[in-house]
Amino acid sequence: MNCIDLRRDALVQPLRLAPEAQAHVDACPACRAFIERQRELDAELFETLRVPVPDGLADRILVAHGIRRRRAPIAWAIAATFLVAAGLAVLAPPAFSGRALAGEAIAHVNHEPQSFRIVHRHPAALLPAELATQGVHLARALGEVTYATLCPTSAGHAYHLVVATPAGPVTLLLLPADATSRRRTLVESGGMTAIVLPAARGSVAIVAKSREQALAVENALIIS
Amino acid sequence: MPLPPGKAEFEQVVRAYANDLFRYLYWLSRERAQAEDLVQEVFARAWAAWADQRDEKAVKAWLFTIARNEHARLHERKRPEIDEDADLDTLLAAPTDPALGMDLRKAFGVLPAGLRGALLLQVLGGLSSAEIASASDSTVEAVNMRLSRARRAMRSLLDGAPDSDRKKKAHP
Repeated sequence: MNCIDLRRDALVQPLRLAPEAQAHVDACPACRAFIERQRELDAELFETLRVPVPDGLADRILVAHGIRRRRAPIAWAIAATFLVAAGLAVLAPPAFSGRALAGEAIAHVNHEPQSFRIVHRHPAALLPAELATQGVHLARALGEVTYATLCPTSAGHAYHLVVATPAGPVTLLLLPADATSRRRTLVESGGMTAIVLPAARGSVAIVAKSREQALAVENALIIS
Repeated sequence: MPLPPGKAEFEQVVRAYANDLFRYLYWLSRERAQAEDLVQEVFARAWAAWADQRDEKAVKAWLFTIARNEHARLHERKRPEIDEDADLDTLLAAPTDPALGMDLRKAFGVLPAGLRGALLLQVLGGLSSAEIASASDSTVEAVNMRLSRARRAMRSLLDGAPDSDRKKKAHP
C-alpha cells in the first residue's frame, strides 16, 4: 500500500484501517499525521452531532405503543416511591444495587458503540487523577485512555472512560455520586462482564468483553 | 405483569437507539419537533413490522433505513426534487477568505444533503459502508465516494480557522 491508497482509505473510514493500511501508517510519519488529523476531525464532528435529546423520549415512544403506561398522578408516584424505597431499605440484600448498577453499566456500554470507535489521545495522568478523587489508585498502568466523556446514569453522572489495555478495550464508569453499591458485584450479561466496586467515594464499574479482562483491570485497582 | 412476547425486546431497542435516531433526524431536518415526530413514526413502523424482524444484528441499520425513508417522505412533500450532490463543486469553488474559516457545525451544515447523510450514518450511526448503501438505496462504491468527498469538503471549509478557534466555535 502506498501513501495515495492509504489516504484514499482514510478519507472513507479513518477509524477502521485494514492491517496493511495500519502497517503503512506505522511506518510513514506523514500518513500517521494525516490519519490523526482525520480522526480528530471525526471525533470533533461526533461531539458536535450529539445534540441534546428531549427528556423522556424513549418513555414517550413506549407509552405511544402501549408498552409502558403513562405515569401515575404525581402524588401517587411520590407516595409509591417512598413506600418502595422503605421496603427496599428493609428487605433488599446489600448487593441489590450493585447488580442493578452492573446491568445498567453493560447496557450503557452497549448503547454507546462509538466509545470504541473514537480514538482520542488523553493525557496519561487523566485516569490516575480521576480515580484518585474517589480514593482509588493504580497498582500498575492500565493503558492509554482513548475515550472520555460525562454520561448521565441512575446513580448520578458517570465519567465514562475507555482504556486500551493489552487485552483489548475496557470501559470504566467512575460514579463518584453513587451511594448505593456497598459490595463488590460481578454480573455477566449478553457476552459482557461488569464488576462494580464500592470506593471511598462512590463506586467504579468495570465493563469488558470477558471476565478475564475485567478481573485484570480490577486487580490493578487499589481501593483505599 | 410480564411483557407480551416481543415487547421486551422492542423496549430494549427503543431505549438503545431512540437518542441516536433523534439526532440523525434532527441533523436531516434541523427541527427538534419534527425530529421527535419522525422518531415516533420510525418506531411505529418498526413495531408494525416487528414480527418480521429476525436478524438482531441488522436492527440498527434497519431503523436508520426507516428513519431516512420517513424523512425523505416528508421532504418530498415539502420541496421539489434536487440533485443532492450537485452544489458541492460550486460551494468549494466559491472564493473564500482564509481568515474566515467555518466552524465545524456550519461546515457540516453546508455540505450537500447526500454527503451529509452518508457522513451522519457513519459517524453518528456507526454504520458500515455496506449498511449505508443498503439504507440509502445506493452502492458501496458510491457511498465511499460520498464519504471521501464529504471529508475533503469539510477539511477545505475548515481550513483557515486555527484548530483552537474551531473547537471554540464547535462548542460555544
